[in-house]
Amino acid sequence: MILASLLGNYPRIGDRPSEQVLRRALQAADRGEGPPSALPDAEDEMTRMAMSEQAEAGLDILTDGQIRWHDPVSHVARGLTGFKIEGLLRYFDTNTYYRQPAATGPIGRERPFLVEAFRFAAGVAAHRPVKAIVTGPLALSRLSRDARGRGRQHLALEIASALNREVRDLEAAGAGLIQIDEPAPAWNPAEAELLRLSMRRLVAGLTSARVILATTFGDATPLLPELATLPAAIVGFDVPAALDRMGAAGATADGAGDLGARLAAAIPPGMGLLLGVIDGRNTRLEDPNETYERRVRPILAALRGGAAPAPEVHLAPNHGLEFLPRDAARGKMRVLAALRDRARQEFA
Amino acid sequence: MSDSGPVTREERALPPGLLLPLSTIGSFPKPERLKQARAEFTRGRLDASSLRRIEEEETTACIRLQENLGLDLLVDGEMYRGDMTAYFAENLEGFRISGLVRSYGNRYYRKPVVVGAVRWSRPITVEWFRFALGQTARPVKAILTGPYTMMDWAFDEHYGSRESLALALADVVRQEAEALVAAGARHVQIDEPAISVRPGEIDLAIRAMHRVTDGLRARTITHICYGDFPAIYPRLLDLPVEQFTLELSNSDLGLLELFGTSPFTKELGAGVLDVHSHTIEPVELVKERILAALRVVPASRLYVNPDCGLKTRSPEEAEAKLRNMVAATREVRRTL
Repeated sequence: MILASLLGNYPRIGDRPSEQVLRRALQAADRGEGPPSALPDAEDEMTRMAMSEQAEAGLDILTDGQIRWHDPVSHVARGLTGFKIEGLLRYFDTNTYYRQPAATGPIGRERPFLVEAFRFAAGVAAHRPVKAIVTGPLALSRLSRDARGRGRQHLALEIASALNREVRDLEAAGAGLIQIDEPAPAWNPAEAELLRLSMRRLVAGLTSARVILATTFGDATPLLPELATLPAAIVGFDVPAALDRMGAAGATADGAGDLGARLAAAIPPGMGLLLGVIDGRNTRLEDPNETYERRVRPILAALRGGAAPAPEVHLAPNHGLEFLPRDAARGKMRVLAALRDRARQEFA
Repeated sequence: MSDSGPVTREERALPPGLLLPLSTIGSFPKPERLKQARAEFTRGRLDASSLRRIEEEETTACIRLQENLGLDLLVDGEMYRGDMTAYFAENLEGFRISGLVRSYGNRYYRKPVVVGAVRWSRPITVEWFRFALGQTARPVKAILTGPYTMMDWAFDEHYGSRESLALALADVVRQEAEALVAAGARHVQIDEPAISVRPGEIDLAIRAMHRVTDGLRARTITHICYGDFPAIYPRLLDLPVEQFTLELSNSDLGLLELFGTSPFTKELGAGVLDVHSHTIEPVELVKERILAALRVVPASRLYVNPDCGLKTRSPEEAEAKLRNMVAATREVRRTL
């Protein structure tokens, strides 16, 4: 099975006035104007717009575009207890920011904070599946300030336990796919053990939902053996980053084939792959033919080459698309759908 | 422009012996009438000369405000600039400007796209610098966006190499800095807020800054904010500039602790106002922040400024914050 989806977020603004309803609602709310319902109404409207653009592009799995999230870190930390939200920091090497949470007390979760938005999105999507997205414990613990000084590991595991309640509630609300975003492991291979412990806690008790572990902001393939043993149905990789690390070879079909072979050799039967094959950080639009021949086809061919049944593959951008202007994001989705169609023709 | 006379070569220095010079980072809030005029101009309902007249009036008002508040090293207030990278990209060859991208909260910018070789063909900020200088007897600091940040905050569809693009931009920024010095600038600030995003590239950022500042006949300053300072400190101090204006208040003075690990050897422009908060910091709090900075650098090397550009605040908030900054600084000066 070859499917196309976003990684997560999607622009919440565009150049047309109709694409700026949320901006206007936030401005009005900041001035204390308008009814209290204006802001959630605008968030609903931009969410619908983000989802209809994904559907129009022909994506198979939708996300709500994370339109309601101020940033990937504080949105989740605000939903948990034990965090105080502090000053602005840059989010990795992006020209965007997050508010840094400080862990000041025991980390817990009193009530669901992602479930209502998931239900809304599932209602909008009608028959298409919606993937719920949760920032993972490694990223949250790394990007937070450990004000109690109890150590990274302690904090990550506490967060994993608290988020476990949220993912179980998401499952109960009907989420069949839950994606855990972990930008951290790609930068810190030494953290494989903490990733394993926290993932176990995070997904404990899930029965029907399939978990996607998405690694972003770098190449996580050095962790392949460890990632392959994690309790996840699908593991995601930043393909341009992995190819970049291979130097000149990475730009060739042979290099991509080598990457595919490494993936094929590492993942156990039944585990799927999310392949971030489109660059979600640059406006330069990939040529579908060239990208297919040099990047997608060699990887898929290697994955189909093994004796075991071919794994489920989700083709996606390597990052959320909110780093791009809306017209570029739409263009990227069109390329993604074209790649998926070519791949299905050849490999389905 | 009303001041287009011959280049003035007068030396504008800070008063000798002045301690804790008061300055700002560059941008001031745009008054409502200017925002409306910019919007009307974009829609084609206002001509360029009418917009220019309003920008000049508001620049003059901004200079008056800084003088009245008692600031020592002024800025032109950037009434004519939008975003700090897009403004330069719009005036250089090799760029086009993208659609809106969100930076944080409800703030958006048009991110530049590099589509060809970047080239400097004419001065960009010099006329405005001269105009500002003509409005005051005090020194005026020129503000440029640094090459590493220009590179990191653009989409690159042409160079395919962060190093090549950063160094090409360094040559461009150098040309603009030379033109400013020729127009009388004695303080040139080259902003590099992106510098900490890839700690492995700090050497590239330093090389690029050398191209901008080596042999430049001006006091050189860099502004850095909201970054992962521990990842690049103390290597950061190898940036070839004399002064760093840094955001201290947003991080609750956490940076000062870092300077305890390795001495801060440059002049410090201490950020004592949080520009992302509506709260008007009381004089006492600002004083505490200045005194904390004085525990890290001596008074002879300390400047006082807000964390970052003030354009994120309303004109009223910016003025009230600055008023307390001036009052606090004066109180601290009396104790020195």
